[in-house]
Amino acid sequence: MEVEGGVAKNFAANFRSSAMTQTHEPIHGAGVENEATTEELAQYIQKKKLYSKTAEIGQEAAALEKSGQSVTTDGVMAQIKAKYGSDERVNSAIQKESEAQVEPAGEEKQKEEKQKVVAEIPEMGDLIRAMNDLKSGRGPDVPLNLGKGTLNSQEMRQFNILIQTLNNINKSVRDLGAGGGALGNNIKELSRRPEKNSTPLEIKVVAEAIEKSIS
Amino acid sequence: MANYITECLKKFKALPRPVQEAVGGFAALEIIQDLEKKYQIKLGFFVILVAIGELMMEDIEGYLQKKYGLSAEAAADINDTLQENVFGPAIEMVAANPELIAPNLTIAEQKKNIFNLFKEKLVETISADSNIINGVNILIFNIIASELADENLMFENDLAKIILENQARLTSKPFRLLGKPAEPTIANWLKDFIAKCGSDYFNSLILSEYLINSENAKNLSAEEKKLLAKTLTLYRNLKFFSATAAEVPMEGWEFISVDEERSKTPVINENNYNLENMTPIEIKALGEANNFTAEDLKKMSR
Repeated sequence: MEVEGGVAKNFAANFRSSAMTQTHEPIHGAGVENEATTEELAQYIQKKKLYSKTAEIGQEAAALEKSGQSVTTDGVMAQIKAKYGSDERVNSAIQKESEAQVEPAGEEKQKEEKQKVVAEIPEMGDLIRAMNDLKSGRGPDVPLNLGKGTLNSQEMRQFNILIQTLNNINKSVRDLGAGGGALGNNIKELSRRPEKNSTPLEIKVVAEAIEKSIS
Repeated sequence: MANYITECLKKFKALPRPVQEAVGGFAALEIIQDLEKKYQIKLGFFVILVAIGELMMEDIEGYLQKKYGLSAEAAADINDTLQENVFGPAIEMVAANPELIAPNLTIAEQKKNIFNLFKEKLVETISADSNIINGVNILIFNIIASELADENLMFENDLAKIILENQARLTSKPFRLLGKPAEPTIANWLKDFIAKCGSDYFNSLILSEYLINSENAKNLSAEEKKLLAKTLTLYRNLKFFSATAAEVPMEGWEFISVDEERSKTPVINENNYNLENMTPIEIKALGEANNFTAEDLKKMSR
């Protein structure tokens, strides 16, 4: 079993597109003879953007075909996932995200930290309101006095509020110092992430992670 | 303990900026938030995981089912929607800008990528957004610049030939070539244009006359006319690169036209139109709005 490693390699594989115009022929080239099977797999690869696995999918399908078994997309993909470590990557990602949200402190300790952080960082309430606005698509109650050159769409304003709130949280949590405990450190690290050129997605992910950590 | 979320965000930050924008910009976020509302789950971090390659494309549906307990159908719906609207456009951007993930490609490899793009995805490339078009234009310029010293290497001519032979369908309306029904392919549109306007260098006025008056072009929708105009202009810019480049300051050089740049070209003074700075579509609109004939437009040209 091969588990691919390295962000650069995996990013490049996920976004590799040199093969995007050629999926049908490489499947034939891997040994699949049935035309309908080849076309079905080619379309599946195009739809699910599995270009980096075109050769492997062709090889698995060819092996099934040669062995006389029926070749289905589900069957081929099950082989691919098993052979190339899909379950391992999925489990690892879920576990790491879960561990990132739960600090290795006792339950009582965590509860205390949450209460302290929420009580001593008033901007946490702002964050929850801003996130609720974002979820519901509502704009802020008070129009912002945005600077020249700032896009004036409601969404931009919502994200400007979020960035401002995260900056304020970062300042307050730094003022708390060691008093914030492990949770405070975590929030400090997260709230430092949004930068001037951050995409809305990054800001949303940071805000959601902080919101979850105090809920 | 290093926070997994911040580690992943750092990796996302290290991706090429255009990819960050394609996956995490407002347009992508709108799609992500619609899916979040539909399935009552949070997908932002998951999109980051795919973007940085922590999850591979084939992992997506399994991850969604395992993490959120979604049905196979729901996971497939989310995957397909994201592939079509978020990851797909990012992949196309990388296709058009291969140096984003492989910055050390040789000139020969870059040429091969551009040849493939022109052979297989020309219509999509011409219709792509300005980021992609700018990336392709820069790549072509870089390759031409690298070959300037060698008179035997004529990359722009090779690309023009590929366009001239391209069998991709460009428009949808019935099309006739030399009086006979034919497929409205890129190659046939060029043959029709050359048959009517000649094979020499042509300016935007000749192009606009063709778009307004030719039997094949005059019935096209505005969108298809725009696509045709961009295709013919691309062919001209490649085939007559020296002539085109001599007419335009270097900062204005382009092979594939970028729409948003063109829309900035203003009409100057009342009744004194600078047609050379207008796109064929703009000239046509001007003509239609004022009932100008092609002859009128010619006279107004400065």
